Amino acid sequence: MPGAAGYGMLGGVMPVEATAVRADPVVDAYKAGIDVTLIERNLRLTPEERLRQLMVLQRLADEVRRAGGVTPPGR
Amino acid sequence: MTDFEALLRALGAEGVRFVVVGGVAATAHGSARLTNDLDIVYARDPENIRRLVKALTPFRPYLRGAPPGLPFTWDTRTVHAGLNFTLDTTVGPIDALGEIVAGGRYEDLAARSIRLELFGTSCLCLGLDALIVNKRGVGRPKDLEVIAELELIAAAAKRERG
Repeated sequence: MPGAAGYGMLGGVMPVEATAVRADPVVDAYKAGIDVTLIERNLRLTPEERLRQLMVLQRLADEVRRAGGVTPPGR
Repeated sequence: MTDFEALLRALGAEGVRFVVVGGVAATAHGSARLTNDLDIVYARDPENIRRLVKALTPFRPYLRGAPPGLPFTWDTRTVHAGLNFTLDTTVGPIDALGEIVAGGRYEDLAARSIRLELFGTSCLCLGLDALIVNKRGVGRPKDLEVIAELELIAAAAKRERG
């Protein structure tokens, strides 16, 4: 588990194992459409803060679905 | 909304051995994508199955998507007889998986996980590289954008560490 012990000192950034992953042009094409600023913002949060943020987003998505007459998933 | 805190606290309180995988693991690593369910891979030994059943029982698990009235009992016998359970609970959906494609079982995944403190519970979360390898191995078209984001997270994290 490389780097795990040092996680708490990295300000919310998780260690990345040194595993080489082959390049995939399709995956690379998707990268152009991803908002990196959101990633950078999330990396400044702790993992627990990221999950709390996800729950807030879920609540918002549920409200929007209800407003549109759609039953939220998992109900 | 899925109450991840309630689910993780319950699993932790019973000492269930599990690894968080899937969308919540991606969120824990920094993903901005919306996901609805908690995916865990649990150890299949009898004691852990007993703990898993006890942890989730208060949330009245039922097979997700199954027609109402279908006989389903969430107990150790059911979990021993099955492997992967996609469940709805009173606090939201959870997938309790004995094994995942391109990832294997708990023992395989635990070695490639990191330990996180979430909601006062210490739990294992699949490592970022292992998550990418898993998503690539599954090979679903819908995961291509997920993989792209995870790779960007890995690159950003690497930059931030200097």
